[in-house]
Amino acid sequence: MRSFVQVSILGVVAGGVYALLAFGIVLIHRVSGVLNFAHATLAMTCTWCFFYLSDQDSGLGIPTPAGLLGTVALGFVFGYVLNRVLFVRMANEAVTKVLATLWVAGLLAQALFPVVQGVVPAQLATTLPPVNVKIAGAGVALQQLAVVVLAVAVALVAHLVLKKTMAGVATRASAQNAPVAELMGVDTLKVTSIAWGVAVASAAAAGALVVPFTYLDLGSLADSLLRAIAASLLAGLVDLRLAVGAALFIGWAEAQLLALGPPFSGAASLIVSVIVLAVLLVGPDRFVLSRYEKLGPA
Amino acid sequence: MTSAAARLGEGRVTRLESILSRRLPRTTALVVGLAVALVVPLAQSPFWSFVAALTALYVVFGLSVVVLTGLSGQISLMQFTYVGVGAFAAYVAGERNGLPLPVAVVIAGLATVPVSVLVGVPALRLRGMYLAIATLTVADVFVRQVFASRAVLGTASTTGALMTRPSVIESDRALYIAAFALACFASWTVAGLRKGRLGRAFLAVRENDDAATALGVNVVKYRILAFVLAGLYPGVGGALYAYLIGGIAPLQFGFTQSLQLLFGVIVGGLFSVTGAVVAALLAVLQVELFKGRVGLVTMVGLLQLGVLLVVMMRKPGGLVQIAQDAVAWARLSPTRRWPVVVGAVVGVVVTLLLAYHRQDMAARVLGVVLAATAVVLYRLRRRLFWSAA
Repeated sequence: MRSFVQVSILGVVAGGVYALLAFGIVLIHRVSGVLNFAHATLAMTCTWCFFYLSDQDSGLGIPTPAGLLGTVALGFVFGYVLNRVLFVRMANEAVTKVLATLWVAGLLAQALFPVVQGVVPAQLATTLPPVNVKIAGAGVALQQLAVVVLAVAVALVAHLVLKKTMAGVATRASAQNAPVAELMGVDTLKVTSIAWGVAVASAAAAGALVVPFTYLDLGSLADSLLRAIAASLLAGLVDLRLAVGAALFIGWAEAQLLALGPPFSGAASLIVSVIVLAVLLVGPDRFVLSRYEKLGPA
Repeated sequence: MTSAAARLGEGRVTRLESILSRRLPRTTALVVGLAVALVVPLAQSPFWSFVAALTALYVVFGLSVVVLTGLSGQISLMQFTYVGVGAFAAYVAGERNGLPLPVAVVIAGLATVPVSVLVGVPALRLRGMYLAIATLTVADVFVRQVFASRAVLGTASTTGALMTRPSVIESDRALYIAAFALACFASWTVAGLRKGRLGRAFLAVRENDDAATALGVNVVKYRILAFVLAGLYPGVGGALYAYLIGGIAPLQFGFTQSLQLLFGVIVGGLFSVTGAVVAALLAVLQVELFKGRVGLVTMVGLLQLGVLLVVMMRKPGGLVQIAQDAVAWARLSPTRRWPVVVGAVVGVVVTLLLAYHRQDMAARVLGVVLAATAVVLYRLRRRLFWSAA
């Protein structure tokens, strides 16, 4: 029987992947107003590339750390190009943009299915040594712990970059008023594309680091997407740090419900839906956006 | 007096002339088309009745998207959940409680109403992206919690249950006739809806809430009504769908199927009954006719996504609008342009027929030739077509 603290630690660690995905979703939404429903599919596409780069039998067999770096770089290019080629050309309507992200997800799934058929589900190698770290008696894989640390670090660094650097100011300016930002000399297309690149790169890292603990399939992160969207909504789709915190909270809450056993364990998957619907009914703007309107973003 | 009577008479003659010259050919074509659509599958093997029944039901499902998204402007990623609600309600009413088929079908339709209201009321406050998330979440709840619950299924398993067809629709042919009748009725009502007061109210709400309210349109009522109607069609269709495929399983009614339906209707044409028919044909092509042939399913899927991109960026009316534009383009210079349009349609149909008959190599070659010809014609369009325009 695991204690409350042990379950909490395992839950927070499980929430790491939601956190990295939520970070990307919020970042993309902040800079371009797009809620990226294709985020999990993009992550899995990059993870598939990671498998191809690092697998000894079916792939190129390069060392996994190098493969991970290559995957993250590929994710960046993927996101950058996707924004430049597709999303900037879309009509500035939320529904069209939502459909465009779903289109990307559908396209990747259609295009990849014949390629990966017969190969997946496959097992991926871990990048970090496969050792367990004991925290308050709970055994946690080092790589899973690294995902949480990475999510928190990325969110904090991104927050500081957005707040303290000129590049961050340019990004915020592009997000808030693109025409004025362009008049001030900001290359808004470049700025939003870089943000897209960073977001997809973080998703690629999430996939490559987490999927070794399950198996590689195109739908491996589908469940995580809804949790990441829930966390993003709790953060009002603007606050990167809060999104990561909310994602870890969702992981923790799910773990606690599962640990309680029936009938509570059955509600574990329901909690995300409840959060999403509650936030939508109350109004996502009321959660964080109103605070931003008063204080200014980031 | 005389002049008024003459004017009236003249008016009547003009109207009659209009009916004879414009409506009669269309009505005749429609009746002949429907007769062919009904008779031809029945004259073939039962498999074709099955395929035709599936197509008819997909038309019904697609019409719900036309009503909700096309007419009232509300996005939903849970339209196949309504199909599931209808299917599971028919299972509970017909299979578990032994109620007759008509009662089970009516219950299947009515079961969607509370779900529609449940979604429609919060949807009053939500738009676009947020509405998409809300419907996606509700679909997830239904698939995981409602459809997979033992209380609904009444079995130890949560993966699904089998359905036994009632004697009246025991054969695929009988089921096709029922599905065909439902599709015709649904198409007729949606077509009427577009031209009527209700359709105009939906369009007003879609275009501008505030302006519609100022003109006396009850926005709340029409928004919820759109959801209810958009649930009713797939609910009733869902009952027949469950009997057609012989069973129900939660994962059949998930987000993926809803998304494919939405994409299909957008590609076909979001604002017309024809769009739903095109969407149904595309869906059946993928899920039934090319079943198990990964390459072909992928090819059709990628083609559909390609058209979807064009639709999202240039042609919001979908393939219906593209066809209308192609006809208008061809009419400007019939001798030069009609062969191109007819050739393209014949080429695509022949490619699909070759693919269906497992002449994969021939289909691929023809597909590549068509694509290459299209590129060449597009590059040379000024030299070949513009001078004649």
